[in-house]
Amino acid sequence: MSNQLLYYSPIETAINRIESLLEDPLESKISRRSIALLLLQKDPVLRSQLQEKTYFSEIERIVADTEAYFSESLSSVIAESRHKRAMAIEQDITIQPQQQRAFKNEWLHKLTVHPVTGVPILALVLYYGVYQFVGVFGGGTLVDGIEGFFESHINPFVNTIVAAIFPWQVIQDLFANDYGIITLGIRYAVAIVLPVVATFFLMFSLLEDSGYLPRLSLLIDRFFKTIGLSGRSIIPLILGLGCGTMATLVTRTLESKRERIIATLLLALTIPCSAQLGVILGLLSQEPTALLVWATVMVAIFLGIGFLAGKIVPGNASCFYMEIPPLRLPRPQAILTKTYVRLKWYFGEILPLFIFASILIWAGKLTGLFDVLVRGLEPVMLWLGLPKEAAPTFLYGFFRRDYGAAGMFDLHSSGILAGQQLVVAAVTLTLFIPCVAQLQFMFKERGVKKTIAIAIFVVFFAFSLGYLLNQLLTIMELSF
Amino acid sequence: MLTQGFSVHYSPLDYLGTKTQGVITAIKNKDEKIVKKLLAMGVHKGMQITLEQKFPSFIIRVGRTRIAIDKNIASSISVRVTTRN
Repeated sequence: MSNQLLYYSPIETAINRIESLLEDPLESKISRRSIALLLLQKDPVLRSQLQEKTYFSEIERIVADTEAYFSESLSSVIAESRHKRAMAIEQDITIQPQQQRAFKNEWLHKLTVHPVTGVPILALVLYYGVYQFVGVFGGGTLVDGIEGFFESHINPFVNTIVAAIFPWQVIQDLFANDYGIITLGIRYAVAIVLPVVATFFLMFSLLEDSGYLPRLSLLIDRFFKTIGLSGRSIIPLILGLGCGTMATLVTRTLESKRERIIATLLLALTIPCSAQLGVILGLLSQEPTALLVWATVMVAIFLGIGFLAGKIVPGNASCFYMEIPPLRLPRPQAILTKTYVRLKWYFGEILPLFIFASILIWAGKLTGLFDVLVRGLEPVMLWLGLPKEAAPTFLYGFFRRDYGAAGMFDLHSSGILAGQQLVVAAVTLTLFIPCVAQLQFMFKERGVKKTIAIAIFVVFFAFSLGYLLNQLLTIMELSF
Repeated sequence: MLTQGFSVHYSPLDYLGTKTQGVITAIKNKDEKIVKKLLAMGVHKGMQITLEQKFPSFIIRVGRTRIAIDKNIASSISVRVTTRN
């Protein structure tokens, strides 16, 4: 067998004819044969590159002539030849032992994909993997430890040093004190985001390398079709429970534009990130009815908005296909390397944003712009049945999504926010615009127009729903 | 009645029962991108195919590859059935 892959003769003839037409040195990096093959398969990039050439119409004619020889598309015919050759090579060089077991761990695979056993396994994986490990251990235990260390050791130290170097309060506030670059920006990145994201990436790499994620997708696909998504979307949506910013980036792995828009919208509106989730769960868990109302409302909105978006957002219904790799025991070395590389990338992208947010808060307070915005928000708070003291919580919540929830915690413990108000505030804050970092990534991934449309919708929807919920709870006379 | 000892049964994949084996006779979908993806995963005309599961998603085995697909994609794969159950 020669090393050269030979296609059916009409295709070989076409390749020769196209090769003789191509003479520019422009495509010197790719062999002429490859270019000819790509043109026969109607590669859109190459076609637009060669559109202007005088010989382009000649190429079009050759492609059309060749197509007439086959009943299937040239892509299929070419792929078939390649595949045959690959199979021949494989048969040549591999030995099949007699009675080889077709797949290892077949029973485990069956358990994970069968609807009766697969769904409970899915629930267990999500509960222990995401909620217990990332939420409770990463977002609770680790965050408390590192955050406490910052509060008790690093922040006072930085405050003293900065105060000694700069005699001016304004400059001191830029670096230290409540909203400084080091005391807020860096602390936030290291104490809150690092443990959550590290535990999350660790768990995610583990699920990825074990081969479980495609099985999760295939279980959920049919259900996700009803909200305009496909099984593939479960991956960014679960990532969103860790960090919405990262998840928005991952939506680029989705198949269609339509699916990417719906997933971005659901991430921005309904999926609470781990920082937020931690505080809200902590706050509402003292009042089980409140927690139940919050959870019910969030799930209903997720389903409702997903269903409507699936009807409204233009484009074809999503399709779903995914290779199912065998289940494997992950190698610790590979997991750790993956987690490390992701964390490194993540910090490169995210740390400047936190520093930027600190500077923005500093400038906003300095110029009095924040006071103006807070006063503007106060009537909205009253409209929602909330005390006007809740206004700063919403504004700062935009810069640090969890700060909004943490602000609620303070308001609750000082007795300003109680019962019904707490539920309304929690729902509105969860729905409200994601943090500034996520918004920035939405601009990057979805473009300016779509992001502005989504942002306006989210703000409008969050406050309207808060209002409705407040009215509804008042009518139903639910007490918490 | 004269019965033929041999019958050939052609069908789109989504009409078949689980555990059916067959040979792929055609892959047709109005979305050319889906056809290309299937080809890239090794789902070709003439390949042996086994339908392993139908719900909640279709799971097929082609060669040594296992692939999950939805009903729409399953309907675009035509199969000549080789097992009878």
